[in-house]
Amino acid sequence: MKVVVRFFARFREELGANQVELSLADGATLTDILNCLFKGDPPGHLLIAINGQLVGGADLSRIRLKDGDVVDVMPPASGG
Amino acid sequence: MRVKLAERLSEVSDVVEELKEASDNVGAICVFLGVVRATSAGERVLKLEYEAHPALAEEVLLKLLEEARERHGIIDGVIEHKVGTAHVGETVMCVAVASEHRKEGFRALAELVDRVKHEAPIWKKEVLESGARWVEGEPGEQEPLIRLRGVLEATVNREVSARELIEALGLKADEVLVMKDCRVLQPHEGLRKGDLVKIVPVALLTSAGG
Repeated sequence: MKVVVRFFARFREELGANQVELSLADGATLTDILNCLFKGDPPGHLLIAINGQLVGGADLSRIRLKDGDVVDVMPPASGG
Repeated sequence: MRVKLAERLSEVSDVVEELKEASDNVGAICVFLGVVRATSAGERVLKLEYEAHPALAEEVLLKLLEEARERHGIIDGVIEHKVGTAHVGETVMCVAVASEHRKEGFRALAELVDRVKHEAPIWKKEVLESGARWVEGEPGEQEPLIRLRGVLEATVNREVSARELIEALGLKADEVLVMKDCRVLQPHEGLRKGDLVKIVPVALLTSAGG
């Protein structure tokens, strides 16, 4: 299956890309994506959304991704 | 309830008038304005750049206002946040709440400002004389004071939200769950004096197979 991963703020600048398309094995989770992107050591306090819905830290390894999903990987919030 | 992400924020007086008109029962309006400081960690700030998630940011801000209404009983609220370039002295955030009395207004305002800074997908880049850097959390915020290794049972002694309780204990919000009556509380949910709670490390649940 294929999912689109979009990047924001620092991640977009560091990766030099707004988004990438990843080919993943069926049953892959958000934790699999983060481990892939951050070489097994994802930073804490990330904001993650699937298809426009924010997901909590406890759901990262529970939610199975589907073909065509759009995953937003965002740095910790720093507004204000 | 209204939120706005824009390069130009509304005049504060207009926001106040808008909130006054929400209801005849409005007896207090509390306003917080965030302003660009001239220095950051001793360095001169040239400008700030704000970026927000185009769809999610407004959705999250609106959810925060709705939760403030449920939790604190405010009558109405407005959150406006800057996107784009901001210069020293410029107002970049306006949070305003209308309530019947000042007490719930103060509480809601303090919680909303904190939650906007920590939960809304909005990011700030500081452009300093020495270069530019993305800001991610306040210094010393990354490491929790303690890391809980087992379930903690406690009786609550005063009114507090689940999130405030976790922070007061020096724990990381994404590493523990607060449970009451066998139910996991959402961060904004309130606790009362005498409530019995369990604070459970998420890692403990994962290692136990859920």
